[in-house]
Amino acid sequence: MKFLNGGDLVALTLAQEGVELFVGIVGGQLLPFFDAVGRDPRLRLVVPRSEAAGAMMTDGYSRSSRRVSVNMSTVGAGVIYAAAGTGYSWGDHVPILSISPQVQSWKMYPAQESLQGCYQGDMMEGITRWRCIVYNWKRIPQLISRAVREALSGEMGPVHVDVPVDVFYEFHPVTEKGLKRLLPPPGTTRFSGSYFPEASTLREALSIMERSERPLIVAGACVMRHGAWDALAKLADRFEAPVISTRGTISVAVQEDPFYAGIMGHAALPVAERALRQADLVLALGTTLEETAELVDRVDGDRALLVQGSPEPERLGVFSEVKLGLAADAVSLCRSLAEGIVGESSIRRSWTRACREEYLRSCEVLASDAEGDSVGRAVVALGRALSPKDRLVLDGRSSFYWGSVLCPPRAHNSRFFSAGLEGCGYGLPMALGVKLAFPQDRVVALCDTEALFQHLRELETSRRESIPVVVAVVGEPHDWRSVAEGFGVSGYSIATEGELLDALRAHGEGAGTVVLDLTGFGS
Amino acid sequence: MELKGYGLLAEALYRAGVRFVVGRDSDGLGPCFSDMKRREGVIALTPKGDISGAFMAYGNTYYRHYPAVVLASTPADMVNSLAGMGTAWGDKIPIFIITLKKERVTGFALPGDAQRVFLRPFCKWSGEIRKAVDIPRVVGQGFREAGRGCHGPIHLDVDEDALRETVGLPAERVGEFVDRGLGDLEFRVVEGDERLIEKALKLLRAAERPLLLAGGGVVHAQAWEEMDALVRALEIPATTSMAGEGCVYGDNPFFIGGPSYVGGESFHRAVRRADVVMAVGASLGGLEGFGRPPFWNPDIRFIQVEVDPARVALNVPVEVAILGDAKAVLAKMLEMVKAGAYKPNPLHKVWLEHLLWVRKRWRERVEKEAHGRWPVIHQGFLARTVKENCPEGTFFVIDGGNTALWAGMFCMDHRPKSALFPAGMGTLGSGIPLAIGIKAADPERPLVVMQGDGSFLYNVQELVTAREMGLSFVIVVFNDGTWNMIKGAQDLFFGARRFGSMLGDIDYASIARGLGCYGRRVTRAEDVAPAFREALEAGGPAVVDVVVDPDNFPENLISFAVVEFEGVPINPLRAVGIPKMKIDRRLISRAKYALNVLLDLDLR
Repeated sequence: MKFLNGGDLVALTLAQEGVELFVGIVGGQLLPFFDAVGRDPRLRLVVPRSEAAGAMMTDGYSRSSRRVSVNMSTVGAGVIYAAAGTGYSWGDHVPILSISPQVQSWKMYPAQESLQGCYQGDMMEGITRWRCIVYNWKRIPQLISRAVREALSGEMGPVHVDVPVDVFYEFHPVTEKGLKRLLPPPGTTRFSGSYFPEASTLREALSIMERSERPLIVAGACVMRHGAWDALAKLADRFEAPVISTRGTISVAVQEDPFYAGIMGHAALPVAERALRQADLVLALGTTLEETAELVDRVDGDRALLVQGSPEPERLGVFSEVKLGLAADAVSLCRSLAEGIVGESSIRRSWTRACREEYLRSCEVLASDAEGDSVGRAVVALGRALSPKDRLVLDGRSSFYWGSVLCPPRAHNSRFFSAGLEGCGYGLPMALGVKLAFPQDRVVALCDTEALFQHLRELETSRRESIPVVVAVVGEPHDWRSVAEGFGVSGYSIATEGELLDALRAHGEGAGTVVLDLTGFGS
Repeated sequence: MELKGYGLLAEALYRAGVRFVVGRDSDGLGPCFSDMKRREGVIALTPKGDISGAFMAYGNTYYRHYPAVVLASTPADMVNSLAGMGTAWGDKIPIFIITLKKERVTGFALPGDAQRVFLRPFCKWSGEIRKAVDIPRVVGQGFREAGRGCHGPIHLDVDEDALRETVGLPAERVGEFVDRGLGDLEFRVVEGDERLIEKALKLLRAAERPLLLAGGGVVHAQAWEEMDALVRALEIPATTSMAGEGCVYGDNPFFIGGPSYVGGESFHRAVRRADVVMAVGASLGGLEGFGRPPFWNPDIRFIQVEVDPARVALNVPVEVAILGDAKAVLAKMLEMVKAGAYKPNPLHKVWLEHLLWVRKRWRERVEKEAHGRWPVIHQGFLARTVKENCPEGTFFVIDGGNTALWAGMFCMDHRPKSALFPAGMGTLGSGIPLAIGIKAADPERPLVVMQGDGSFLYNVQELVTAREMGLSFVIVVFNDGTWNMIKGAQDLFFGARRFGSMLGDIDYASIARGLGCYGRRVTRAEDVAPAFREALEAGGPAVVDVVVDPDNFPENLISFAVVEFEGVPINPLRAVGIPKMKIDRRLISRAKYALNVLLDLDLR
């Protein structure tokens, strides 16, 4: 028989749910949870230097691995920092579990001027799918499982759980048998199978698809969240339609895919915008509410039908311009559509080829423009140096503008950009999270100077926690080498491609995190 | 050039007295930012880290007693502002945050009023601007809301279209239009009822062991002179809350130590045995133990001077409540005392002397321990040495856990506006951006940030901002390689399993130098003073990274911990483990403190 406190129960429930990564900064009220996570060999604890960056690290991990991770931040002061990172997960539908303690449950609501006592749950309301307060120790397993379920359901997204300090610390004797009754058995707490679009709607969609001559597939966030890129490729191939990604779903296709026609919302890729206007059918698959809203503005309603596919039925048809709505998980959605297509169309094939060629021409134009731009030149060199398995986080306007095209994806799920909040700075912490998910892969953060400043303190985290990443900086000149060395990581001022390759080699040979200052490249 | 909405917004803010703006030239509110930047006397800055901006606004607002503005154009700006805004809310600091409301939901699904909902937990008031012509009126209303009663942050949500609208006013009419819209920005104060003041004075005189406590409200009302003068006139022992630090002056013979439990055993004795307490502008929150047991005498009869009726008797029953602005009430009280309405009670002198004796006893112990001969530098020694080597009038920004208590014990002048610790939220990392906001308001005043290593990196990138602005201040990092306050709890309650609390040996001086600033690491006590003086001369932000003792904790931590963990069940079995903390005779002193404050003893 053991005495289990609230922190133990939360950790045990999460371990049962298959959650492995816990990122956070410690606080007195959080200690039972930290102690439980620290003592459980199944769970990994990583400590950042700001809760905001911690949240972004869990984002990078969950965004790339598609597994829930946990961001821990202490009462009041910790959680107000964490919100900055949670906001990014909210904007991009990344399933994170944010857990914070609260002051004593009898002092919590309404606030009575306790130190750090505030309405943190209310604050999180705007940037989470779901939130709760755990008032009772007994309810912990149910509510934590529910939190995970809510994070992974539908369009996905972050959730927040408040646990009053007295509930975290409260302890009770629990037998083995009792624990089994308390914790729901693995696999019994949420739906994890497939669900398919309704048959008659599917038939109607297929009928529209068969008749289309200039279709366009827009691959939304849920395609990435559900790992549906292979199913999407099959669909695109079968349907003979071009695919464009949103800014958040670069690497839903790879550069070599013959149907890949670029990124919606990229200023240098007019093909995507033009295709949206010229299409007679836009299949917005795995799209979220905001993506569909964006599309509605751009699609020529007189010419095109907009068919939306979303894992969350409630989100279908919110914008009345949507002709048809298909509710399914992204994999089943793509598969159902692919399997339902009969026949071929040379017209569609030509259209797709035309879009593709125009995309490739735009890439060439951009590559040529890059020669006359210092950031462009640097990114071209970086693109040449990257290997197909490398994972790249793009952070900042210039980094995205050049990097999304000149470092094109050669593998699925290898490019990460956060479009949701119109902000920057997540690059380094997100890269750390991606590295935690894929330790065997090289992970690179390409950041504008302005972006790297935001969370540069996490160079210390990368060193202390041994999470080696490559940070490539472009844009406004700054002495990044000195900054890196000040943090105890290797810094290189890179002027030539040779120097770039040498620095990358050093990283590969165990030099740990390297900061590559490309702000003076080519000069 | 035609006047657009953003220009009108800038004009309204400027005419309302805003002189500090955080934002940037790009994005939706960019034109407003650029406009403000061009105006005389305005400091418009773009921090290197967006999270830091609202903290800078806090520092400047606190120091100038006037709202600073944060322009948050994007959803990212808004979520980034939360940390600083929450911190400002915790201390009732009226910063202004202006967000941009877009017509259509794209990119980030915050439909409708979601931005106002999002910021509501930390706002005193939220207004919206739909049309350009409404700008002056809503801005004016925001100012009045910020400044009336108990202060707090204000949010304005501005329609993007309103900013782009052309305002059809000839240039010469704009000023008048704006002034008319802003309206009267003077804050009408509520004066206290004389009869109630008389009743309070009677109660105080009849008390055997009265205590006066100045809270943050005295700072907000800028009533420290009246407070200090009243204490001297009443000849009653006095202290302050954490937020009220500096409102009873250090040379006031009736000051028994503080703020709050930083004042140690004398503060404890005072609140344990007092029979009547007059709290001025103090809500008696968690940092003061809520005015309740275990530390406060349950039979205290409270007098409360409070501007916000909802805060009267928030945590304790109040026998005499005087509703009014602290400055007005204190001035009136002083006037009445001077006119003969009160004669000091000679019994109070005995009480005072007792408290001063307790204070002296405790301070002697604390001071004696804070020498430079410990194997690893003692934090008290560090704090005191820094204080001794500071120019007079140095402002202290305090940012940390245990570090805050050490700095509180050794660096206070107990003068108005001489030290700031964001006590309400205790937000780590606030130090550097707060310092920037304060220095921007008073560039010539020497300033030192006393910061824990656990806090230092949060907003470290702002060292570059400060350097580029030409601001000079010193940051002393208390580097014990740990989030020590928390490690302490782990050592006590979790078998010294220090998960997540150990940072290891990190060279922060090196980080500072990498950011182009002065940075020096100190490991020996005799090097502290010279290094600090060198940093003072170095110019720009200068970091002194001092390696201090991780096994040493300030004894008044016990006071805060008891309140923080009140009612929280501790499992003694979980506390079993291998002790890691070094034992030395300092623990005896800690034990004495614990016994003295918990059992009301007088162990020397």
